[in-house]
Amino acid sequence: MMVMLRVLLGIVIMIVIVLLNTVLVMWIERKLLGHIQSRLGPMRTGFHGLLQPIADAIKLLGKEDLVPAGADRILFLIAPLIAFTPSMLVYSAMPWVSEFAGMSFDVGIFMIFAISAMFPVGVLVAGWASHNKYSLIGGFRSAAQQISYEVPLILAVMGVVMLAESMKLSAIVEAQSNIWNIVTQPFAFVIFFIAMLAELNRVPFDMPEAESELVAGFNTEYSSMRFALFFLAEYANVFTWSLITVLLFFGGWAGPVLPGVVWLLAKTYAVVCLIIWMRATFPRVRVDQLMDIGWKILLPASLLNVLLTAIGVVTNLVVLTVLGVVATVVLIALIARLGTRAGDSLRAEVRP
Amino acid sequence: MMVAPATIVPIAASLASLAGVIDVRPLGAGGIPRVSTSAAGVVEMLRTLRNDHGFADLTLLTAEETDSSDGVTLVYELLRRADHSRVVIGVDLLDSELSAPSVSGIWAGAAPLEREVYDLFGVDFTDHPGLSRIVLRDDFVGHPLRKSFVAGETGVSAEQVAKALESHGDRLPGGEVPRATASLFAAARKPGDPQLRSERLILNMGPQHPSMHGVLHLWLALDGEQVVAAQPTHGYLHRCIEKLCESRDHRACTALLDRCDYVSGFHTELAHVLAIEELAGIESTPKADHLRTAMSELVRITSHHTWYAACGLDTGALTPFLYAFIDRELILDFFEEVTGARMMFNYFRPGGVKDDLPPGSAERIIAYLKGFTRAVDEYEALLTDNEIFRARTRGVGILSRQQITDFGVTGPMARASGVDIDLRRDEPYAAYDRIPTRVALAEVGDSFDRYVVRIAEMRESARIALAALEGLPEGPHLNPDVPRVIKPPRGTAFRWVESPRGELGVYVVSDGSSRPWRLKVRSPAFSNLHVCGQLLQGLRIGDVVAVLGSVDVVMGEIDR
Repeated sequence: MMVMLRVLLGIVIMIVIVLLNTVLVMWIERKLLGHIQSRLGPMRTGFHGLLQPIADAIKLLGKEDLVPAGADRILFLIAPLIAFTPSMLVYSAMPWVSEFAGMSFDVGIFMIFAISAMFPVGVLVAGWASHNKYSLIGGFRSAAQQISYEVPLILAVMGVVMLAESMKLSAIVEAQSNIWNIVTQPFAFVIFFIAMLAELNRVPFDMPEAESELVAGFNTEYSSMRFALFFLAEYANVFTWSLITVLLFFGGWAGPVLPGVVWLLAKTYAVVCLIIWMRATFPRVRVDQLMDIGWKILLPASLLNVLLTAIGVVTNLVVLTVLGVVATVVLIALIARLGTRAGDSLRAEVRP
Repeated sequence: MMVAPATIVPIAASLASLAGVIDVRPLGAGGIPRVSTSAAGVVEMLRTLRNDHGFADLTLLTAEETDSSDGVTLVYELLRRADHSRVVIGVDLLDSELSAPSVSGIWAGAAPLEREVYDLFGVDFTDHPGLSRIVLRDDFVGHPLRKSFVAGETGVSAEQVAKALESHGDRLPGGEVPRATASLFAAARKPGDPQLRSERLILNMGPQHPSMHGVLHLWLALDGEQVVAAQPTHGYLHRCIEKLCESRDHRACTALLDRCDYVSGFHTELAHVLAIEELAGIESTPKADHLRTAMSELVRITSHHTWYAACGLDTGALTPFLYAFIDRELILDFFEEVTGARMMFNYFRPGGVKDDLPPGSAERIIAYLKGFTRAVDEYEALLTDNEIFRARTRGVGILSRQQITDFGVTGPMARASGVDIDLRRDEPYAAYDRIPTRVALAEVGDSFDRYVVRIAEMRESARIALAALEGLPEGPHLNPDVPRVIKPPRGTAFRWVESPRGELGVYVVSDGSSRPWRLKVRSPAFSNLHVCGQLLQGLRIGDVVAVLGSVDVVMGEIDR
């Protein structure tokens, strides 16, 4: 009975913490985007618009929950739940869950991948059930994209797992007590970060909802709280994956003087800001380019990373770092080549 | 006009020897020769002029009602780029036989122009690939640019209207698919990839769509993400501006024409004012010429700002939009200072401009323009140097020189394909003969080249505006001899300006009264849009918006 209560309490606390952070991520996104674009962002609701996400949520709750005519009603109604649930469920595999829930996964990172793979199912179902051509294309894009990018994502993490010799997140963090994985695994980090942006449907890979092409993609037809659930799920995922990035590559909660939780959050929000910065800077890639990058560049690169890590494990970490840096430079050059043509200029010729 | 009256004689002489010529006489004060011919001979004559006489560009295809209202005169204007000589061909059609052969076999871009004439005048074009209404609804009854058309009194019974409304939609009252989109529907009915057993899909993109530049409507036949056929549809912003002008004083028309191309109002104003000045023989003052030039170039910058913003948004980048709009606002502030309005200026008048610059205004604008290059550098840093943007735009939507002539594409879009045309340099108006214009050119003609050409034009425009303001002559801003009511003699005037989208022409027919008998705006964006039907084929959905962004359509100017 006590165990049950503790677990229940743990779940409630966890969800509240995650949702609070999600709301904070939304606010940071709006403020940071605003300042990058020479404007202020929300200013009216609370201190510097801090309550804006709450106000938005209240507004959404007050809206009518529309189901379009011709929609597959049941699927349409449950799709947001399918998308939202995994974004909360992943926290069951986080390393600190053992503190208050008394259970711990030995294959934490594996569990996280398994759960988060459910998100595109929700998107696909939403796209299909909406009875809208834009939603349908958005849903298909999402399914294709997430399947393509999950492979390099998981393979990139393989390198980290090989170094820690464990899939347990706490073990991975402890393995970084001397040196962070970002130093020994820069190549894996770059692959992981790019694939993660695709997994999150973030710019430059925001194909499924590509506003300028597909109106709002898979959630075109959603309104009210069902729209809010998709929205929440996406921002919760941004927070979650930033957290996972920190756990895998930036030494997790390790840091001097301040308590671990402060370090963890500080690092996580640094990654969140990086993702938002990308959104402010980049246009969107095209569907076929997205597939090209995923299958032709990132997948071979992530396999190469497994090989390089194996070499590093049997020789030493300095070799691994050097190899990783070289491979990273080559990878970035490869991706950057996408936009160049041989022997041409980037300026117009001005003739009298 | 570059064509001095003396050179007209040889052109007119060679025109008189063409087959099917009824008569040749100079048209208005501009001295453009006007050839009359019969409906039967027009195709042959246009083909001869294009192939043998170098008149490769169909710059205008429109119609006007005959003086006695017993029929319609079709007007074709051709341009020879080599010496910038123009020729007008008129075909008189009587109401008893309102039909002419289509010239879309010579210029593919004539097809939508003929649809417009059919829509507004009721002329039937034989051998047309898909003659249907273009700006009005398919179930509209009547042809509004005929003088006999009275708004509200269409002579249609309530039953007819009810029936038309019942079947309103993609289909005509008869239930069949509109002829204009028949080929698209046929393309969509074909099966997709045989191995995948996929089906094709028709996507109605717009008019309610975030990146359709207002109210553009695209019919796309899709095979997966790939576009197999595309057809632009418009008319959602048709405000009958040309018809409304016919019941207004010449000077009042300027206010309406501002609303044509609402992101660069000065250019439509200028073309109209130049035409009226030509018709009525009014001279503008040197100071007004400089002010007109400066304002035209400033508004070109704001128009390119809007394009840059949309171009970024269409490829999925958010920040360019805000960067451009911040700077655009600053220039709109200057417009407000000078003209009193931020967008609908109503500033140019026959004989000059409405007001002189307020004190200190010139200095403020000059100071802004001197720092303007830095803003463009920022735009470039954000998009030109971005790998993803380049990957999205290079090699996409390549426009060939053939398509440019066939569809009458002009402006930055043509220059991006290496076609060296710019009316500011080739047929200088206002103060452009005193301030040399440099032309920005690129080679490949893809979306990226259209982008770099416009970026270069922004810098160039700032330079021209700066030169026009720094060299501002003294004197009156408005010719004091302009009469209170302008009643130009009977005649036709036709003037062109280089708008941010290409060659914008205003064609005015005067019947001697204070109101135009016919006023037509030759819209560059109309031609630039209709080439998209070909340009979009084979692209992916994402590229459709990116290419449209690089075309820079303004629906207000297309629909009028």
